Amino acid sequence: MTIRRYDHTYQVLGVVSDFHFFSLHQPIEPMMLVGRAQGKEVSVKLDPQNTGLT
Amino acid sequence: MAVGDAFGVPHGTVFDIGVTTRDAISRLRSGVDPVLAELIIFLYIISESSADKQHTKADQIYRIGYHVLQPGVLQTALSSGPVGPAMTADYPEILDYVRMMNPAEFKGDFLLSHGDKSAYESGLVFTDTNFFDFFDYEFVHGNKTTALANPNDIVITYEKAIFFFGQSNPLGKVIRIDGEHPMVVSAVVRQPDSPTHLRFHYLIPLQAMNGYLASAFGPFTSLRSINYQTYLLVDKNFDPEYFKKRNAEEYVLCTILVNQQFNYMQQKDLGYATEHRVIVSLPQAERITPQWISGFREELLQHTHVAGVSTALRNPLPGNMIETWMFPIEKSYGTEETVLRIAFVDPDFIDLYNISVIEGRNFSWDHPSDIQGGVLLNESAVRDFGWENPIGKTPLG
Repeated sequence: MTIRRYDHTYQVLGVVSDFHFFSLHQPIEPMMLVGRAQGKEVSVKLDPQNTGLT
Repeated sequence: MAVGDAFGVPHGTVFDIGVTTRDAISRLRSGVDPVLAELIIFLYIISESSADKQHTKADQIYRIGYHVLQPGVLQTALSSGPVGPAMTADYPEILDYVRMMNPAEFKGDFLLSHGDKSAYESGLVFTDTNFFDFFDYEFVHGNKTTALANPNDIVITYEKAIFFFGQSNPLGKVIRIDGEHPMVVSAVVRQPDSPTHLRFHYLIPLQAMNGYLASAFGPFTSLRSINYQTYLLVDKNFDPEYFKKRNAEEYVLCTILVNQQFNYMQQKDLGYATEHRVIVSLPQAERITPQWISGFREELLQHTHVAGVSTALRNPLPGNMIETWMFPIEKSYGTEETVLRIAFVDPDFIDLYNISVIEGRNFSWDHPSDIQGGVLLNESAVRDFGWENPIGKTPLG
């Protein structure tokens, strides 16, 4: 299956389990994650062994 | 970082040190001051400004500015009360701090009086007692050691001394503030001829403020109260670039914020992990180029405290606006315009948040085409489309 929008063609690589991207109380809507090299929202996973954040 | 006069900031090199202090971090983490959730502290050396470079220690004095990213954007040469003490305590190369605060900017003028002379004044500034250790002034009366030694001391400029006391020596005389608070003149200084950001006609020890302003205007010890000029005295060998580098970790930690809101929820409820995950929103600034982001990512990954990094246009997580597109989707009963939520994420997003791939595969850095048209669907989308086998079909068109 293929999803198209304007000139772009998006090929489905995989399916991910549902996760809440709005609040926990809202139903999970259909979502498409589009692959990109980068963006300005940086998520960092800290190592709890070293940060003292445990 | 370009900082202009609009914010009352002198031009000059600004070192975006990208840190907040451990003290500030702990406050943020405890939820006391979420208002400063995303905050970059910057420093600039006063000797590069056109003003205030005449002081003996000017090359060692930096002023603190704030760049608040969330909520709203604020760039200011003012800072909050606790940040100077906290940075001095945290960093050995920062030797001392001094703060100045002019309440007239939000309170209005003070009435100052002595005998039958009185005037409404806007130039009354509260400061730490070491003010004259930072900045050089010519003393007409008194000296720098005793000038701010007592809580009820008041230092006045020569111009104001003439107004209230004429040519007589005013040391020990009383000036009342708003008719009730008696302050004792402890020194008379001359205003410099050169331009200055240290504008005052009266200087009073900050501790005096607790007595009669704190109750009326709330505590000035809060990180929220961004009303201070804060100056730091640094070691002669201070290197702002090294300082910045050494503090990349804090830059990450200071933006921990949003996570606090959903840390209490379990991964099984949300469908992804939040614990120890931190989100840093980079500013919408020209200097934040794709190359800069790549470099920042690499720098973070080399850090011993960092277990993973992902970047996204906008994370599809609670609290964010998520784009909506309409697509013609081929469903079992024909093509239908379908509403879909869209998010642009890099190949590390799925693993970083422990989201499960239940069919097919995740994006991979090894396949450049994955970030030029590869997509993942969530289960709800597959169910909505009624697709039996969604993976890897030959693209149409």
